[in-house]
Amino acid sequence: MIKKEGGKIITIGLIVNPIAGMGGSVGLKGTDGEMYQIAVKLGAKPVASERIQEVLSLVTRKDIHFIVAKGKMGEQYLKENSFDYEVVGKIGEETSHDDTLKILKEMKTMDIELLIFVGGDGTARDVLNVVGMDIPVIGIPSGVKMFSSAFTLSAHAAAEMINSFSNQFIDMEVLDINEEAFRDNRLDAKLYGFVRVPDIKHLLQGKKAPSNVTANAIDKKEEVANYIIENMEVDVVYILGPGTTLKTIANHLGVEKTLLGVDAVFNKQLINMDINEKKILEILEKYNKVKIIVTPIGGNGFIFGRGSKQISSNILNLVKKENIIIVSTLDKVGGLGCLRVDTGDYNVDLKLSGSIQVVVGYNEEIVMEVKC
Amino acid sequence: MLIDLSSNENPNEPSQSVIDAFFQSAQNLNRYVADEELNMLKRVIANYNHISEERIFIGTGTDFLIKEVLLNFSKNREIVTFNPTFFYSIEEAKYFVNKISKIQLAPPEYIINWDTFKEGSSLFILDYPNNPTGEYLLSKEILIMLLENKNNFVLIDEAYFEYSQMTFSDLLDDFSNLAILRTLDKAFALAGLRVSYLMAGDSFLKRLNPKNQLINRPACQAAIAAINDRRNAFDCVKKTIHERERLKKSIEDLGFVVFPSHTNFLLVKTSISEFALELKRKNILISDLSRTWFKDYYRIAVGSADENNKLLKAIKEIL
Repeated sequence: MIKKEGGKIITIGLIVNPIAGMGGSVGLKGTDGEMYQIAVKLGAKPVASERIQEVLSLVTRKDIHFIVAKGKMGEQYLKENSFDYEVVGKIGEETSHDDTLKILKEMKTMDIELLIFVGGDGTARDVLNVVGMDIPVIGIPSGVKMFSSAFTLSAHAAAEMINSFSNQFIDMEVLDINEEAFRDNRLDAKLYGFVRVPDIKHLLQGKKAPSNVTANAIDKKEEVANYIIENMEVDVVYILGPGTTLKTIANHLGVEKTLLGVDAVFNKQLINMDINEKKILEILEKYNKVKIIVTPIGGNGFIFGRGSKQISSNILNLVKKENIIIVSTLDKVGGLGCLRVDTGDYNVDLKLSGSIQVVVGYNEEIVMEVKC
Repeated sequence: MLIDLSSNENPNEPSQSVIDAFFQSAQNLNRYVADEELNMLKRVIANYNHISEERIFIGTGTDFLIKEVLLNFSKNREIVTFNPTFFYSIEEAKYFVNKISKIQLAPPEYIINWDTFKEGSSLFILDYPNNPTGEYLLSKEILIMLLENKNNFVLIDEAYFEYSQMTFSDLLDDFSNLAILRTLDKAFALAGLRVSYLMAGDSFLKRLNPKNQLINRPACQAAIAAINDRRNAFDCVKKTIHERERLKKSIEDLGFVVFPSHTNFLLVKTSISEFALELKRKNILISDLSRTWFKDYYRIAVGSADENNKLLKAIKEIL
């Protein structure tokens, strides 16, 4: 390992899914499972290697020690550059999802400070399963399905994240869709969880940036949580939807909460965990006053109908619009022209549409339109 | 050399008479600013705007004046502004106001449902023309509707008035709950001194404490000189507007969407990924709105002809 005089070496894991994105050019919409073999037969060419090479060519810092997967899963791209690295794990001629999981587990034990992965939503899910929110990640998109907001926008952004790596992070969603449904032209996206991504937006601002970039997303979530809790009414059930903003509220209340599930709180105590539609309907019947708190999905702004299916149209039919509280951080909704609903019941969608306030800080709300 | 086009500054330096006034004021810095000096500044501003001197209230920068208004008029009120906003002081008010509501601006139409704000009791802080869109998001009819509700207070920031020549100041005598905010940061090229002023309706004047018009002598004297020498400032404004239209056309020719502007900056849209970062590598700073507001949107201040040429050259290299 090269040690720079007085400087600290940063240890970065790198894993490339060499087959990610191959389904795209041959119109397969993904290479999960057996579809990869079909993609190869159809003459698909690898795209992941180009992406990672571009990123590495833009990395200027020299104090990196890479922990890297073998061959085309990582090593081969570093060989061509002058980076310091060591190899972990073994792989065969053809790589699979199991290789990814195995290598990620090994990397996790090696004190990496940052993990770079190249792939699509499938790879992002593997990373999520092994690394979760323990290690910050940079997702370089090369898949066919790239619905997760965790992916960087470009090779330049990825390189900038590496070059200016600091302790500012932002939570991003890992979404994946059902490939079979997608091939059928149905979009069935599911939220799988969250990873932490280096936050570089502050690097790109001039002297007079919009006021919302001065605070970081984690602080803002705390603010939202404090505000919501201070304004919680007694004898009202609060149904908390999925997401890290809702999880922060639960943390501040001192109650447990599922990250992806729906949970219920009454007088600041947890009454039900990971509840389904039936259970929520029971709660609506049993209690006089029920409020629902949800956060939009990043990128598309869905508040109901995607992501949290438990809160169904039957439930929303029984809850007044004024009893629906939307919470978010500004980085998630600031780029959205509107919020969206698609509950399957047009009348419910209509009821929810129009202006709505989104809590984005303490006493701070954004006025947005809900469209259906 | 770094070219900073991120903060909507004036690329021209103040005129010699302004710099002379600044240095001369340094001779008696051991003394507080006399009322007469402040009154002189107010008189000059009043004269420039054809408005009564009593309506002028001076402050050290726009954010200072917004704070002053928030302190006096935000109790039991909802603050209404746009998102994104560049008024930092609004954020600080969140612990003592009723609520801060930011109206999301969604390009390209920026449709705003003003009826939502018809009732109630709010303090509106709105810019005209708006930053970062460069557009007028408010009409006289809407403003009058907001002002007719006497529980509302409305503060309009006209920071770019010298570029737009559009103002609501003619409503000040009819609506006591209106105040207009101006600054010498932009057209008068004094961003480094932070001199701003309010033209305030009677209800505002009743509560604002004249003792809080704190400004330092160099700023006060330079501001007087700058407004007295406004012919020079207006010449610079003319040049900037000319450059703005040239830049707009040139950037459009490169395949960007460039929105109409009534200010000294342009809002542009491009699908070039990480456009701001690419320019930063070439030592040009612009305002990146793509992460904090809409993807692909950037705000570029109009620089000097030379700076604008360098910007255009850099964009061509990126393409």
